[in-house]
Amino acid sequence: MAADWTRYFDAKTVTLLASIGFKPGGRVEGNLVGNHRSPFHGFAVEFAGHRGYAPGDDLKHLDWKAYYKTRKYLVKQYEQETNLIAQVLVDVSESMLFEYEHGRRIDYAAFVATALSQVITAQSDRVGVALFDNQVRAMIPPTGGQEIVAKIADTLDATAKKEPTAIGKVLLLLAESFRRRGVVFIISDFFADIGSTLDGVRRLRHDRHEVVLIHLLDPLELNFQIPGRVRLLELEGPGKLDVVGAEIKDSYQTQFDAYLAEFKRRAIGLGADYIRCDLGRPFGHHLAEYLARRARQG
Amino acid sequence: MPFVHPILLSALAFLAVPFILQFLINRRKVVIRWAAYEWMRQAIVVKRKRLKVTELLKLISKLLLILALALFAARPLYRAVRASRTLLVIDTTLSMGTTLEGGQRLDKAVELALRQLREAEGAVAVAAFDGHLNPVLPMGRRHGNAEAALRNLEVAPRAATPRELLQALATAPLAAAADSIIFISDFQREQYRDRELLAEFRERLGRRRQLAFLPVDDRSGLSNLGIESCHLGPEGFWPGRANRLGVRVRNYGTQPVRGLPVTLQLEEKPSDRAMLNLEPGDAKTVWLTLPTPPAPESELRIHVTIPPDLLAADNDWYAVVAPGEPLRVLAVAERDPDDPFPRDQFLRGALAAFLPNGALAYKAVTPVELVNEELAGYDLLLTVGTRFGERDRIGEKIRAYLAGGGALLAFADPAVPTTFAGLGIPQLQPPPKAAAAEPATPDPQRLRGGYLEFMQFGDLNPTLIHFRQRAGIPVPAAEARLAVTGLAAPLMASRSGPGGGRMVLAGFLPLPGHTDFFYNPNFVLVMMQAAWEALGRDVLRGYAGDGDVAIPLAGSGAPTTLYTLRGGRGEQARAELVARGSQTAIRLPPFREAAWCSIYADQERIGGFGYNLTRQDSAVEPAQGADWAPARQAGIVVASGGGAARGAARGEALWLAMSLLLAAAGLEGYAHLWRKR
Repeated sequence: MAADWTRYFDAKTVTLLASIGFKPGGRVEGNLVGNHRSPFHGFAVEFAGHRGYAPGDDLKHLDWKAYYKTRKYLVKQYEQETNLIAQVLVDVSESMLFEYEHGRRIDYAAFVATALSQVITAQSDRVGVALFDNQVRAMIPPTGGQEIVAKIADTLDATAKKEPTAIGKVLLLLAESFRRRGVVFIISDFFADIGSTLDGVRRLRHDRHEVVLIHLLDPLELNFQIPGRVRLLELEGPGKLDVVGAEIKDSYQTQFDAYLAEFKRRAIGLGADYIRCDLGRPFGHHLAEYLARRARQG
Repeated sequence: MPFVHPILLSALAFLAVPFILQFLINRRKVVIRWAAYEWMRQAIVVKRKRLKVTELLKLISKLLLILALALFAARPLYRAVRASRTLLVIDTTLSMGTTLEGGQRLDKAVELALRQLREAEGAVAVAAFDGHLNPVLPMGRRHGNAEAALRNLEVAPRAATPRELLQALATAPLAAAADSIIFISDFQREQYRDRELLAEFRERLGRRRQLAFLPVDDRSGLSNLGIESCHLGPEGFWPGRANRLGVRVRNYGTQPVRGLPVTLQLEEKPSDRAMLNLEPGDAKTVWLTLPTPPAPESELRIHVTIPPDLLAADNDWYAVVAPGEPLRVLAVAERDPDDPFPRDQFLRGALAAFLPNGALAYKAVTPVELVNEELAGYDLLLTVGTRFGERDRIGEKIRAYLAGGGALLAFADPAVPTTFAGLGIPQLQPPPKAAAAEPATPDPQRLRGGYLEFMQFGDLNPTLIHFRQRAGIPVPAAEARLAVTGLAAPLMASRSGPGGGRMVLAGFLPLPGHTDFFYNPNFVLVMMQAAWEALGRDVLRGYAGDGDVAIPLAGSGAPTTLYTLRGGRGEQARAELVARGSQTAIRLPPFREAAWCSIYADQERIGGFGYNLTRQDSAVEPAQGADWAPARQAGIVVASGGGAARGAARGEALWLAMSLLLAAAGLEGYAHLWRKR
């Protein structure tokens, strides 16, 4: 069993990533005291400022020293520090089963999800995981424990991966269930309608979630390097195509680059973070670069 | 459409190869389960039309390429189809007898001609060329006797030049009726490089008429040696002596030859042999000893051989030595009662030294007695100090003798400068006064071409000979035979006599006090050369059929006499009489074989000679490669490189193949550009 639950766990990479840590871009809501600033001003530890007294306020929060100085009834405000709840959404549609020379995309996604979960739980935050294709296939409720690694592995293995993707619909659905604002990681190939996908992202952003799109692409998809004849069998459908790599390469690349550029442009336009992960590179490189950038940005 | 090698059309089966390759390539494609399917599908929609065109163009280019190669190999005969009247000319000149693949070049030429006949669709005529165009088969579509007629062709014993070929083609009616001429030959390298001549072919035969050269031999580095000629040494031929026979051998090949044996057979018995080294292109003379009995009763048959090679015709040389009657000499000299030695003493001694007993009939007379002497019976007139005036009787008699073909060897007294006035030499040239007192010696710088030339070799020293009293013979340099120091004019000269005959004149007296030449051991050899030159005898009769050769005919050559010639293979020909100077001669017909031949007057044999096939065709190296550039530039189709192909087709097939190849390359390039767009 021990061998099973660590199969998507790269301790060395996770250690490196944890040392960088994940810093949310804005305020996060949580029900536990944590490392991150809460959007709610309350009466906890750190003084945040004053506000005018309003009927109903507890008199014990009146700042009498300020009254003596200003002759105004001011109530002390404190910044509430809370913990982060992150949601990791992993696409398990059939297209995630793509595999060429760098392993299956779904396995890469699992490593990314596990690593992110570990980084987040390592800083006393909580993380939940959802697996989806055209609907939510499995959910792991937010937890701050290390058992998330094993849960991800087991859930991934237990989930059938033979349905097409419908990210937009799933995101709308999930947005309803996320009661607290947080960070939503979406790990997918995003081979779906851009408009629909981004509708879901827009909804999450509307709910003040921070959205990070992790786009997993194989080098062969980015740069069609097979010169000879290739038969392509559609992963999420019955179609098949016979092509000569050298002849179709330029045209394909034009089409695909246009899709990638548009998706990225529109996603960033919605305020989402976009990480393109080349399956030819170790996932740790991509995540480390991203986390480091966030850390620098503060 | 006819083809030279129709069997090679089977290469068209390779047209299936692109399809098979296409099938195999399609079978061997990689299968991938693809996620980004939608974008690939969109890419194909954009490219589909272009891809199909590209595929089609590529396939067409491959098919064209194979088609071109197959057609090029099979060589279609476009012009042969258009050429409704073709003349095949087979070269039968001597060089076609060169050994090739166990036979002769002519055998190969016949094979090629038969193939042309079999495959021709229009009318074909065949002619043999040996300097003249000899019809073999008339113009027609079917020749039932073609094979027999062609296989009966023989190598002719003569050579011919490309100009003769042009002349024959330009004038022969058979050629005028043809719109295509194919010449099958060995095309000797040296003969087909003349650009102007080849251009003249096109001009004179008409630019619209096709001319093709079909070589039978494309070997290189051929080895061929040949005996160019045989001749006697300058001292001539004297019965009873070991005479010298010079054999000139040439290396016509491209490789050096070491230790080539040159063998002399006398009456078919080995007599002498010498070895020779020859560089490519070199010709050298080797001297063989020709011993003859003192008084040969009849002609001696000589056969000189070198080992047989590719062209055997020039490896033998046949000749006949006809010594003729004993030499009849009349000496004319003053008699001095006080002098114990006659003035012709030393000349008579020299003649006796190189002519054995019985071979010399010698008579001495005084100038006064000469007037009454009948000179026609003498072969050589020897005079010592006799003056030949322009108007005196002696001068007149000598001139008449010379006009009848006589020979004169005359020694002048330098003190009488007008000695030879009656012989066209008005004055002898005395030495300068300052040098007159000192004796002169032969000039070593001017030995070449003279009687003392042999003394420039070995230990011989010509300056040991002294001439005290002397006078020069003022003649052109070409006639000089002995030059001495201090005298611009030669001391001895050889020239034609007034009205004919030959005379050797000397500006000194062979007497004590005048010169010590007669004490020199080489005096005899000089006298042999002088006497032989004056006599001008045609003793060695060996002729190569290189054109118009005539043999002097003994006797009158009466036109009523039927003269015949018989050759080696029993060939017989009526002799054609021709005038040769004041004598009558027989012109040689072209015999087919080198051998000893005989001359018959009516039924009586009157002499013999050696007949040798021409040497003009001995350079047997065929043209090849760049040698053909002038012919091709002149618009002549050349089927070089193998020779078995048909000349008419080669050039056209090449153009066809090149066009198809260019088309294939163009299509491939266009497809490539299309792909890039």
